[in-house]
Amino acid sequence: MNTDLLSFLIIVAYLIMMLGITVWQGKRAKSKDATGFFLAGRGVSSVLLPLTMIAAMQSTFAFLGAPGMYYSHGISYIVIVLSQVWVALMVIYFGNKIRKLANKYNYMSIGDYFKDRYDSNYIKVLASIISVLMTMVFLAMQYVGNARAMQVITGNVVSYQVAIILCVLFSLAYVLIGGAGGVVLLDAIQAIVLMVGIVLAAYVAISPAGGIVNLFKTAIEKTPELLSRPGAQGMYTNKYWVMQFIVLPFGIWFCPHIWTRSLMAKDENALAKSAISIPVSQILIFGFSTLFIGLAGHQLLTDVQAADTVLPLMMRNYSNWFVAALIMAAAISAGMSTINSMLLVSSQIVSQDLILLKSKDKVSDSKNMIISRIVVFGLAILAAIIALKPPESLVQVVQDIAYTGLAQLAPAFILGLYWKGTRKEGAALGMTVGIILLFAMRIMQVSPLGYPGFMWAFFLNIIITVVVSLAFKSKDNTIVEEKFFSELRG
Amino acid sequence: MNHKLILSIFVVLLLLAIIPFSFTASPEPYIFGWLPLPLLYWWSLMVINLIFVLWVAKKFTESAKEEKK
Repeated sequence: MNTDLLSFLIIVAYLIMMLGITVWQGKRAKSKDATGFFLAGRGVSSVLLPLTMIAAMQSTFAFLGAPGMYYSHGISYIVIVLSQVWVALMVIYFGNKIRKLANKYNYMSIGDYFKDRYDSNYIKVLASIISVLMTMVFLAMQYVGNARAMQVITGNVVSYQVAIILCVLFSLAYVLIGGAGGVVLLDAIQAIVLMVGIVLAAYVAISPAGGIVNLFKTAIEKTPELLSRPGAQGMYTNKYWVMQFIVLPFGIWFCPHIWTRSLMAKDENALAKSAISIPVSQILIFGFSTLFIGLAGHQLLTDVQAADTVLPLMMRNYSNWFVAALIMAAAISAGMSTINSMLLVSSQIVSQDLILLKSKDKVSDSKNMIISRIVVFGLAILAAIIALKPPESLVQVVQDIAYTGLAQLAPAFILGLYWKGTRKEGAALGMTVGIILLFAMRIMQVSPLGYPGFMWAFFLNIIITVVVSLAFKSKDNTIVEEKFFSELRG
Repeated sequence: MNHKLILSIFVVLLLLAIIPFSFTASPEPYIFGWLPLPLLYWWSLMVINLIFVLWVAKKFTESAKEEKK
């Protein structure tokens, strides 16, 4: 039998095996209500939570996007590790605070918190819409990554479109059968597989380059521009470098599928372990493995049409078909686990915060579950349709659109947690202006004074939130002060 | 938890990473003849950040245990 077809069968066998685990786990821990279905009953342990955090954070970025970024821009892409390490502190500080509030007031999403803190359906709806739209972009890029991996490694035995359909079918099966309870266990397994897979991929890539020292020596000789800022394409300028430290940590933490991990935590110990898992996995994946793969790809591959295909091409050209298929199964596993988390959380926001905005308490648990499952189905189809027109670089799309959009939630969220003077008028106007300005500047492609539109939108969002809140400070704020600042100080 | 100490260390580490120092704009000198200086700097910072996160997480769990007592 031809090895391309065998590679495809190995990947499908892996996906079916994962489905089996989900079915088994789904039967064991059947979700009877929305909290169980979406948040695994708020009881994920200190063993599973770190793994599920890794699985949620490390998507196809790890296998496809990151090697592509190192391939195109050189070592400057390590900024992702240096900036996203601070997500760990966000989990410990903001995550713990919101977990306590969520347990007390039964929040299931960021929208629930905004509604309660600001007594505003407008802010809840706006935050929910931003969260879902940005997540849909991210989700579509996961389908793109998985489909590309499948297409390249099977030597086009599976077309891109068929690969998208397969990914949609499997992700729907995982989520609809398992819910969060099933997905948590699946995530844990996929996190281990992806960590082992990426190290193995780095080993495969480094060997033909003659080892790490030779890899760098060749780069010094042939492509020294990859070994410092601003990189081969001049992207990591001073201003762009600084911006990464705002976009990447806030953008990723406000991804609903990452944010809700804090609500799933059983206790502080689980939360702390999940925080530690962030720098550990980032260092292993982005600090070393993908850096080596990207540099090796630059030296060894001659015909790369999309930077994201560097890793599958390396595996195809420099390892035997079986190892390549296993590594790509791990890559698809990384994408699949993130897709599962995104589908769950997006459907949660659409069903609970938008469709059932004013009638959640009037709907029975079983009807709520039916609505949630229909929404999961619809969102998966929508993301797949977006994925049918793939961009050249997944990372660029997610960083430029999804992360920058999600970061606009940060001012209202953080100020609301720590400053009792934050008023709904300030939060609503700041968030609205921030998101409009962000996308207006992107559409017009303007960067006043050389600073990207995101920087203007983000800082204007903060200034408006503060100034307008101060202007409304005489408004009675007793309920907020009693509810949020009496017991939960510090 | 000593929040002031944590915040101070965080600010220093953040500044060390966020400031685009001029030496990161050139790969030279090559340490051991092959490792670009910017990469050595960023790798070192990466490890120090990890140690800091481990320490904060430890303090956080200790403080949570004390609160429960």
